[in-house]
Amino acid sequence: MIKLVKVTKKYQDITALRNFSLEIPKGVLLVLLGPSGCGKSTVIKLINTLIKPTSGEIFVNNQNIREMNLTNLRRGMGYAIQSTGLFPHYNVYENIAVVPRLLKWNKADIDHRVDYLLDLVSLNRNYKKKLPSELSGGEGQRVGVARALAADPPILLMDEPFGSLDPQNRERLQREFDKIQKQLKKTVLFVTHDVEEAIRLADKIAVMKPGELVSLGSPSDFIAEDEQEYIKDFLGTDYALKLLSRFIVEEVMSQENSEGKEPTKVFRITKKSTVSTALSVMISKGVKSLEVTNGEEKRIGFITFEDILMGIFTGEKK
Amino acid sequence: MKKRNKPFLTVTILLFILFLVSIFKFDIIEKLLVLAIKPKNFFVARESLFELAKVHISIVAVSSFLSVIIAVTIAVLTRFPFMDEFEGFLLGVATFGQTIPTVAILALLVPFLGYGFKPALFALFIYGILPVLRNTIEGFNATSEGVRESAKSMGMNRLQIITKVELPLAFPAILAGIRISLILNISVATIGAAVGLSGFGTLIVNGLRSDDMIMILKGAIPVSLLALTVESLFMSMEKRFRLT
Repeated sequence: MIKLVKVTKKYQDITALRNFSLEIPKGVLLVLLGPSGCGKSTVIKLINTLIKPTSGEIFVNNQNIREMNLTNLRRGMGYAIQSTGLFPHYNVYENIAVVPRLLKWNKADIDHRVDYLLDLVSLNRNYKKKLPSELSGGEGQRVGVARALAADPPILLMDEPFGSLDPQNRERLQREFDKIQKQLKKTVLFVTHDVEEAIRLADKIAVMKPGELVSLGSPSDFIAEDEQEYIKDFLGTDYALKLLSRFIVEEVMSQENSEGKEPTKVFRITKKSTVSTALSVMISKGVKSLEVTNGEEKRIGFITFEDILMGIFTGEKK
Repeated sequence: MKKRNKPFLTVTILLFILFLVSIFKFDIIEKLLVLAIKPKNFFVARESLFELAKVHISIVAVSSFLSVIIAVTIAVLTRFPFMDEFEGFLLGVATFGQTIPTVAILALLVPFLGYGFKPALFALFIYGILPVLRNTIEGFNATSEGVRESAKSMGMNRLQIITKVELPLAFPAILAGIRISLILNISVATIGAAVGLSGFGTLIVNGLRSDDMIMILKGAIPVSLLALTVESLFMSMEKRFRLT
């Protein structure tokens, strides 16, 4: 869907990107992960044609973007950034309606779409008349995401869209966005320097160091031992622990208690909890297995330390 | 947002009423002044205060209207890439030009344009451009990079970005520029009497010549009230359009 081939971008004598190649297949959420100033945002701006490559080619839907109409290309991509970029003089409704209006949708369709999007990003519909200055950070970011989705573009470009939020709000928005993405299956390029954010959202992670791509794989691929020093340093020695928050109990549990014997004391956890929560409960209660419930009181299986190991190493989400 | 500018509007209306009183019922004020100042009455004004007000206001209105149109047009042109190099230059000219005293400009223009209505109007027009130009350019520059970037990224073209984003956001700054320009022109038009411009300044100049304090005040009081009314009106409008 999106393909960069040997792209180089130079600003005067600084090289922001060197021979950078990357492919994002349709329906995949690829997280571009790297430290500040490594050229992540440059990649996103190149695809959106906000800047032009010094050399190399970029393809969207197998079409070279040099040969495409820039405004049409841009209107086909949702774009969300850290500062939200919401127009301060437009209310929430008008901000979301920008691209549909540029595309000359009729009023009824826009009304309908705005309502749908507000529901999707969990904002009350009576927020429509509010100005961005009247929104909290989290609400602003939600509107930013809704605006990016406004004309139902097949591609989303997101440049640290939750970057300015406090950890709790950020995690909530990540979870909600993950849900939205599972439902909509957009082709997403998501830029961040936050390893946990990458783990939570990514189908594929591309790790960058200044100017170049160093590794590409699914989040589980990065626990392998033979990774380069740079990647280890950047992902952190507790990467495996962080990875636990990517999975939910339901995905790794088994029907039978692999511990074999019935434990003396029984502790329970709901199937929708993250695996990291499950491990945390095990450690704090001093047990090696937990009963999994379906949210009510019904037992639907067990989770043990073995299950967790298995789940992570078999890789992709079930 | 509407609540906040109520006090300003009330003040504006009050000032405007006082201004009207000072033009139409100056005899009331005169009776009060006579208590403190000895009248001379050597010179009797040929034109009524209302006539002078009409001339004064129309000179300011016409020159400022033209100034605003030219200034905003030039400022909008600086948003296009081919004008990039001129923007700093224009901003410099606008800022530097404002530091030159008005009287000096008027005096300098006399040898070229002569005395009278048209040259003075021209001077006012040129002078009125500067604050509007400067404020508009600075208003444009104050638009956050994120806002401009997202406008572009959503597929707005240059003209749409200017008309839908940059101009509305710069509007309070433009209003402030118009306010400064109007106030400036009201006072310059007063001084303009020295180079043959009619208006409240006529009374002040004649009053000074004949050492008639009451005549000076007859020109000074209405013109001050006019300036205050305009200032307060624009302040309330700026408040109305400011977003934060």
